[in-house]
Amino acid sequence: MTGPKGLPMQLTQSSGDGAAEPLLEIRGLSVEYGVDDPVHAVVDVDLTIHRGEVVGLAGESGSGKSTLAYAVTRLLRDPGIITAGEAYFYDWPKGSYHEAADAVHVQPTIVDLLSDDRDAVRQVRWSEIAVVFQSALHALNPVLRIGKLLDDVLRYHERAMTREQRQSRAAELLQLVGISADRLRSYPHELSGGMRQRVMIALALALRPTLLIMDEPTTALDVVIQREILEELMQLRQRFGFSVLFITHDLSLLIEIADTIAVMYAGRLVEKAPAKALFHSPRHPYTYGLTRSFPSLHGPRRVMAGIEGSPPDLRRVPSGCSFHPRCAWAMPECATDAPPMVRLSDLSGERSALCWLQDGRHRVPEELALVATESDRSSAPDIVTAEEVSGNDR
Amino acid sequence: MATIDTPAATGGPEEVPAAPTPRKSGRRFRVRSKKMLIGLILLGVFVLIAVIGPIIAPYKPTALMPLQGPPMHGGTAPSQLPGAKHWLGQTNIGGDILSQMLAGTRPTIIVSFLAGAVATALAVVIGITAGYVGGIVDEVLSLIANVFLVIPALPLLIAIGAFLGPNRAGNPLVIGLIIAGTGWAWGARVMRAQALSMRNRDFVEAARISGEKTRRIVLAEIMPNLTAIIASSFLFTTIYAIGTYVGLGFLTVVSAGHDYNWGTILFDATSSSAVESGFWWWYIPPGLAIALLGTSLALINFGIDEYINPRLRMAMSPRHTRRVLGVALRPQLGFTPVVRKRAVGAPTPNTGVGEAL
Repeated sequence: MTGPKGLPMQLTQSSGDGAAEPLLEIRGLSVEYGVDDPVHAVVDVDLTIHRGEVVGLAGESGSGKSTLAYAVTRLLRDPGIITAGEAYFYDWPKGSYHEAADAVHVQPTIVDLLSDDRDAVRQVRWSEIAVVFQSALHALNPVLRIGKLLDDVLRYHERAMTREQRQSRAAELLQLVGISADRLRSYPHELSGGMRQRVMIALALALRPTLLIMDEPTTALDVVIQREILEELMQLRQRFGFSVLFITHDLSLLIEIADTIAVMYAGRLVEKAPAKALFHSPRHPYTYGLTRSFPSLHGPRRVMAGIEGSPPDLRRVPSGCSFHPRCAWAMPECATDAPPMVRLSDLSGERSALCWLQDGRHRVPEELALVATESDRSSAPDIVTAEEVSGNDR
Repeated sequence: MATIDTPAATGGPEEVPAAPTPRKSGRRFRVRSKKMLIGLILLGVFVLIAVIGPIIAPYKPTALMPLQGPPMHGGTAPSQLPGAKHWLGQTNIGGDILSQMLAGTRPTIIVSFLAGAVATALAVVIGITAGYVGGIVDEVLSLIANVFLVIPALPLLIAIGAFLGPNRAGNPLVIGLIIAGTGWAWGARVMRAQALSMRNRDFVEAARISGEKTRRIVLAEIMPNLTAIIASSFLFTTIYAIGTYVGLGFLTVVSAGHDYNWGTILFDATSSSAVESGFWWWYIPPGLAIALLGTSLALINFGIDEYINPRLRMAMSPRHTRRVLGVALRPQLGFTPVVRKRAVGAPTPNTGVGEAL
């Protein structure tokens, strides 16, 4: 099986392994709210998103997942301050997704997202990093028609396009997300919630971004519409090869769509693993608690259990491991020393967990030592076929 | 559930240096906004003068005295220039301008605040009623407000002043009420628009469903959301009243009987060609007083805005962030600031099992 330029398909496929090309690299990022007695919303987070990868960011309310995404795009409002870390965006040449990186023309430009250069940050916004907000009703200007909204985005970013080109492109974008083109003349309030969210996705895709940040995009929708939209999104991803950072508190949803899942707790990334491996063989006690708190769609019946207690106040995070007051396996050192981020490697691929239990010197409880298998490796819902790749209009 | 240790991390590498906590002891009413402070001080001075001005005035404002100032340039005769006996000089018929200014402050303050308060009260009652109740009530009240908006205020006031005669028109309370009667309509339109937009908000709907009475919905649910607008409406109506009262004085509708006001001084100055003659001590003081009083009210309005609107509050002021973080941050919408407190690439200890880092 070969890609359009005769390159091996393996290179074009999304996978969680380290050989893939990076798209967004976050290192040691910390975010605080306020300057007096600050809220430590995000603490020392490392996260890399590769080209074409769907990364799920899960965690309960207030765990810092949205803050992380908005910090990277520099959209956090006053009094949010980024207090540490780095974030780099790899600006790959447009349309190069299905080609492998080489030394000649498929090389990324690296953009420092946390630099003081407003223009550099502004240039990657929307054209490279697009955001789909949770509430589509509030994100769409109520007095503009859908066609006008799409037209505006195209007019400001792609100045070469003529009026007719923009119109046909707008119609094309709407059809892409499954809305008929005659809806271009509708106002946002004339559309249903699901359609509005589709319009948001169409707007986000208008400039063919390479990274789509979706902040709980389907929370306000019912499960049927949610399913439809996500399926469409995944098809579009196969076609255009953008990466997705999918923020949600719905872990079961992520297991269905994400390649990699990162779980946040009290502002820290506590575990990151290939999606199925995270579900089948969690390594962090918090993740273990999460995976046991909802029923599996495809597995055998189990007794469900929640996690005792409630998340901590982010002004007064517990010392040591912030999860220790709620952890069933807490040890004395958990209360005093911050746990290490342990890199693990098993059949499912690379993974990491922020836990003392996994550092090699402790006996790992059997619940946290379930064996991951080869089948947990990739969770991409479909394999890209050659036809789909050649049908790509980029 | 296990107890949660409250003291922040001990010795861990993630420990963030404790930021100096704000002092919260007994300074609840500290004025944080500099604008507010300056405005309040200015206004305080004017109110003080309004109270004691007529008492501390060195002469009767209506008294006429021989000119006692130092001689004009190139002359020898005593002139009306400011001097030891008349700090702000004299009018060309010998009145003491400082005394006139001091005496004129009281009616100006009384008229402007009375008019501001009454007009705002009218605007709140009429505007919110129209906006919240809607229907025929709204139609009628809006019609009245529109009529008042269209009537030119000054000619109406001149007519009313002439009708009342100099005695009653010279009474600050009467003038204040009349100015309020012509100045409420603008505020009422604004209140109505706000009440309209509030009326169908979810929290108002919820209050209605939970069985609250209309009176309580208006007072407890809608009014607090209008605090900033009511305050600014009051302050700007007051400024309008100052202008109108001074204007009436200037047009001699409010005559310079026993109650001098700043407008009357300006009228005297203009009719005696003070500007052409270069008698700056005659027309600058009243002009400056009007400007400063208006400025003080505007500054207080900015302060109230900052107090009511959390987004404008000074928690993230450049000065404050410089003190705490060492960097002056200016909030920029859509561009989160980056302040790296500690070196990058540092601290979490990594122990690798599968592989070392």
